[in-house]
Amino acid sequence: MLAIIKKFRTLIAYCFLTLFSLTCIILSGTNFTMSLKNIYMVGIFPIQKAALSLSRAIGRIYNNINDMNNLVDELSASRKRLAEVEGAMTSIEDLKRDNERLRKLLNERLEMEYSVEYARVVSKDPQNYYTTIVIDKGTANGIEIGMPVIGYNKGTKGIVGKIIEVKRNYSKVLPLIDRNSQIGVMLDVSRNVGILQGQSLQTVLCYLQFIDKSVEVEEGELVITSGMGGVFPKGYTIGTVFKVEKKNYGLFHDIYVKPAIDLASLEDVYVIKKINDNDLTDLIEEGL
Amino acid sequence: MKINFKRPVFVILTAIILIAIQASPAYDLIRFIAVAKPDMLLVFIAFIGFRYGMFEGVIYGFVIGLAQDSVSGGTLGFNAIIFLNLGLVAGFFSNKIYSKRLTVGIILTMIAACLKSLSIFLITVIYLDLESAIIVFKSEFLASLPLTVLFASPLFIILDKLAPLIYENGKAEVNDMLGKDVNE
Repeated sequence: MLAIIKKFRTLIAYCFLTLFSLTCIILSGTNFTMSLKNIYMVGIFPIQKAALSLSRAIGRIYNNINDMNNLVDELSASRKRLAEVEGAMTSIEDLKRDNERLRKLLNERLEMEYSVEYARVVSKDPQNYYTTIVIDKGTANGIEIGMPVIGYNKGTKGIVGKIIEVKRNYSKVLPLIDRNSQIGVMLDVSRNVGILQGQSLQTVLCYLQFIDKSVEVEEGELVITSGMGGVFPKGYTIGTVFKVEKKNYGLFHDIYVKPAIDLASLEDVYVIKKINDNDLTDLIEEGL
Repeated sequence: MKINFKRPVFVILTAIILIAIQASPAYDLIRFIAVAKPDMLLVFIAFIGFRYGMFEGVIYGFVIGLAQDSVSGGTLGFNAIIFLNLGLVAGFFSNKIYSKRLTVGIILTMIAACLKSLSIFLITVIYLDLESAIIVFKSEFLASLPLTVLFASPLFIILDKLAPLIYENGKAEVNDMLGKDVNE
């Protein structure tokens, strides 16, 4: 018996492991596969974190040397700028007061402010056909599935994506450029709403659907979240219109949006602790 | 019977380090510059299969594929099934090709990368749609494959030098001009 097993061990191992893999694929999303994933992640996550710390340390040393050269120039420029800003501050304060007074007059409902959780990007997907990002905050920090994630790029605040998987100390983020991502958005000027879908692998540009052909859309126009869909709060920057394809047929424009956040250089993100409006999300998914 | 744990431990450790590198944001920059990033794990599986045969190729291919699935945003078992098949194919060529290490690395990686692209295409067609499958296949075949093949030769040479020390019992290899092992 043992001799037979030894003789056909490759075939036995191949058949068994293929069956096991197929079972895992069929049972994807169930507790069984989730537990298996967790067992593996326990071993891999600390090594990923260590590798990241090492690469960041090397990067920091390099940046420090580079920055020292620019520091003197920047200091003199900053002093000049500070003097200008101090002058402008007075008029800004006046404008702020006016704004608040006018808002109250208009009886405008002010947007609810959410608390945010700072997180670092620990890793990105090792394969080419997914674009998920792993961050170093999880349930221990109050992160939940569906929470929106934002980032800053050259002073601009923009949407990065949303949380799709949460463990105790880390979470996975589905970026807006992923093919599986769909976000309710609005054109800043015309206030027309549409749905933004990622098209990763082909390009980092996102595809904006359902904008009526009668609407005038200019390249460079700002695209913001519409607040519809129950996931993303209203008014957050998504990106700018990169290309508008005007067709002779069909009802809608073909619009391509360039995300405000450069995912290639993304290192730090903020998770908005906003509880998902599940009823609304379910209704939308049913509608789709 | 004495069981040697040295190879499994070091193979898995190497795989975890390669996954950590491949998943690092710094390595991901290659994707933004060159559309795709080279798959070092594929080269590693090709090397392990070629050096230690079909059985070990299948086992390590499965374990490494599963490890990748746990880090990746995809379905558990997706990479496992692809990598165990790559291990099997690479193992098939074990002791069959006697050529320069550089050429072996390139040829084997190319075969493995083609197989991987085809497997991903088939699985995506079954589980998603044809349009997504074509996009994935184009990205894997046209962008990732050439980059991976480019990475294959230096990685094969490095692994070949390190293998006797870390995966075996410290046996030093003596190579002739053709790269064929004298002690084989």
